[in-house]
Amino acid sequence: MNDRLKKLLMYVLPLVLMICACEETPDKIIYHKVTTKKTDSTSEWLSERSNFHAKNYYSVFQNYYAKQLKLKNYKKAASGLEELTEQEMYYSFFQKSTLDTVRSFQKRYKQKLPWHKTMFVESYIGNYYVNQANYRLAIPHFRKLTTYKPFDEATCSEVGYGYGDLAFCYFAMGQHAKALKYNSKALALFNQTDNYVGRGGIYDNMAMVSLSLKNYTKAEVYFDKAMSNYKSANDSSNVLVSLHNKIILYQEMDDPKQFHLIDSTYHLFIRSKIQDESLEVALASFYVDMLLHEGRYSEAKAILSDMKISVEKLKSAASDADYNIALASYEIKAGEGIRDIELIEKALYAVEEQDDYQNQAAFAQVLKENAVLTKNYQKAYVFSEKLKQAENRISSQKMITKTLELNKLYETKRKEEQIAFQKETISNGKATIALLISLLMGLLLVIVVVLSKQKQKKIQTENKRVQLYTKQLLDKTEEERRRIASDLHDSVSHELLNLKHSVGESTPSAGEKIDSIIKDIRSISRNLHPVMFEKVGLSASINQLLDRAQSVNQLMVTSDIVYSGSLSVSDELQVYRIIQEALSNIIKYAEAVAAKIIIREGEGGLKIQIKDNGKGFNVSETLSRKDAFGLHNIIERSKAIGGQAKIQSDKNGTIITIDLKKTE
Amino acid sequence: MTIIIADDHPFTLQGTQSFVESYGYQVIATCANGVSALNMIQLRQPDIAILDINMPALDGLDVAKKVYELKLRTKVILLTMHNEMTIYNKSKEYGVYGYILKEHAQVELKNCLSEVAKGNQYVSDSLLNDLVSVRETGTGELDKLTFSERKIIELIAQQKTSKQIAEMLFLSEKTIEGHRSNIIEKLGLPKEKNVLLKWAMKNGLE
Repeated sequence: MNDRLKKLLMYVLPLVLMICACEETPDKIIYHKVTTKKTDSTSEWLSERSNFHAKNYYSVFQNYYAKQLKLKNYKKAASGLEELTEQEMYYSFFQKSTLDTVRSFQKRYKQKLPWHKTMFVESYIGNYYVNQANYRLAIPHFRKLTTYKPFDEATCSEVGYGYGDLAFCYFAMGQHAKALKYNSKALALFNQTDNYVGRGGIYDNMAMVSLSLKNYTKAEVYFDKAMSNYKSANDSSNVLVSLHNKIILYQEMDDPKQFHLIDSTYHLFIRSKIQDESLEVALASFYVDMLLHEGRYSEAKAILSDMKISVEKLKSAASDADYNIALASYEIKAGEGIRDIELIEKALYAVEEQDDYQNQAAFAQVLKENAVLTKNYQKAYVFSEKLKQAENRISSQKMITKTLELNKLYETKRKEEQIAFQKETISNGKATIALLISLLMGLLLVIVVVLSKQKQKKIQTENKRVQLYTKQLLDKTEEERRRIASDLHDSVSHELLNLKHSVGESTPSAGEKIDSIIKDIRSISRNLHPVMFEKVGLSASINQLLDRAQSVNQLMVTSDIVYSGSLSVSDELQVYRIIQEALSNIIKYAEAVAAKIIIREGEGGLKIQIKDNGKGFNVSETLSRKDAFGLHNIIERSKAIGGQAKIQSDKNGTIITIDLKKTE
Repeated sequence: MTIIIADDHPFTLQGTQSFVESYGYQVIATCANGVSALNMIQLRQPDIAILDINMPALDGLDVAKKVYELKLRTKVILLTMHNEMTIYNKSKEYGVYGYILKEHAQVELKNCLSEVAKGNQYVSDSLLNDLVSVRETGTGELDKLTFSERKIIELIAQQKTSKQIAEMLFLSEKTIEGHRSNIIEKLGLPKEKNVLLKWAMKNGLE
């Protein structure tokens, strides 16, 4: 298909050279088409596309051209010649005589005219060589065109065509990179003009390059862009060319959409009544393919006979091949056998020489099938060999394609791997960052913990210090009280006793008075310090306290004490003071019927409980009051001996619980 | 009858000695502290040792304890300013025979010595009276009862059940029942239903 494609392009591209009127003028466009009225009626007639098919077209031109030269009206002669060359390029109908005329014009008259009036010269010669597939000769002419500096729509388009043709030449020579480079230059120029046909041609060209590079999706995009440009220019002929190209694309892709597209494109062409034999032959051969594919033989036969007329008129190798293959395929499919076997065979050898493997395969295929049909097995063998040979060449090309595809796949995979690797690197980096962050956080946490621990420790030591101080203060107070009590008891009482002995005998009333003073002192001293606390012990002292409370204050207090002496005497004394304080509170405020003191020694330490069934009080409120000395006294004393006091109270009574942790 | 006296107050010691001797007893030694008193007791083995409690080094209780532990024949009398049941209770643990207060020595020492000499125990009346001295004296009958018993009968008068009383006084129901029968016995009441309630009502305790 590739070769066929190239050939088709050779027809397609020159068409693009046509300048067309346009309606829309987008913002970016710098140069606009100026429709100049042709001053000369003959010149105008020559420019009319339909007139090219008139039998007298060439004679009219020659008369006009010779007449203008004679009149030294070089400008008019040039424009006449330009009209002719444009017609030939448009229809891909290049004549040797015209080339000669152009050459002689170039030699003799070109310098008499400004450069922009003679650009057609380079364009025509270049395209002439392109038509002959002689790209090396064509390239310098197109290159010459690209050296001009455009100043209006016409010159801009000409330079654009120059680049486009250059791109095509390189494309045809298989230099895709250069083709793409020049195409993009051409496109940049056409984008400055409102020449949609030119722009469409470049897109067509780019699509072909993409197709050749097997980038089908890109190719389809470019074809569609080309088509939309042609449509903007109302150029139905070029729209059809684009559709034709798209059919080729679908065939390449083996896309079943091709048949639908062939059908619609062919009928569009017929309806458009465009006179373009090369396009007709190309589309008709597709159509025949489709009809044969669908088994519509009689219709195919009718199309083929129509084709024959155009093919004979065109005398183009490509059209001939298209027609012959279509005809032969029909004859085989219709079961008639090829009539003019010699023609096909000749065609086969012709394409063989041109290394046109696509057509070679097609010819060989039909010839082989024909040979089988006519039971000429020897020939069938020869042709099947040729078919194999052609297919081998094609498949080697296909292999290249496949290799390309594989290479592409590999590239894709490699890229994916690269991306995956990068992602992994990134994720590794992220993991490292995450690790670092978590490490940092951990470190921070450790620091915070350590600091708070230190602070806690500091607070703890501070608390301990305060506790120790309190304890020492309390102990000192107790010591002081004990000393005062003992002084009172030992010295003062004894002195009074002695006084009583010396005075009391003579005056009994004085003796009685002294007795009562001794009693008072005893009471004071007892209140200051429990008598012989160390000797008597905690539980006996408490019971003494309770007995006194019972007899003095009429409060029923019972005790339940299990205590073996695990505390130091000074701590015991504090426990005694706590109970004393609690009892005093109960007596003062509680209005209780009874109270109970419980002391229990457990595994963890000592538990002291003072219960009453009085009216109770609001603990937190009372504690916040300034005068709650009694309760604070209990709490602070508990703390001082390393314990904790808990006070619960409601309308049914109050429970004070002190837990003393066992110290080792 | 041999007696040793120990007291760190020389005037008191002297007074005691003259009292004891005036009763016809022989004071074989006097000491000014607990240590020499103990030594003297061990050495002289007197019949009776009259000891003050508050003394330097060893106090009277310590000496009594030693005497008790060493199973000496000497009978200990504590002569003290401490009018404390707790101390008396403690001294009973050490087999002390007598406990008298110094301010009542003139009155009580004679009786005490003769009782102890007979092998009896003697405790100062004022010590026993200490706790009950402040008690309000109501009906004569009620004086026979302890504080707890009076509290219970007050509650009985308020028509409380034993269970309620037990809860109110932080005692067990069993303890209350025990107290009830004690009260009935002390008051010499007949064993009939609600006898305590009836008695309480009759005596206007409600």
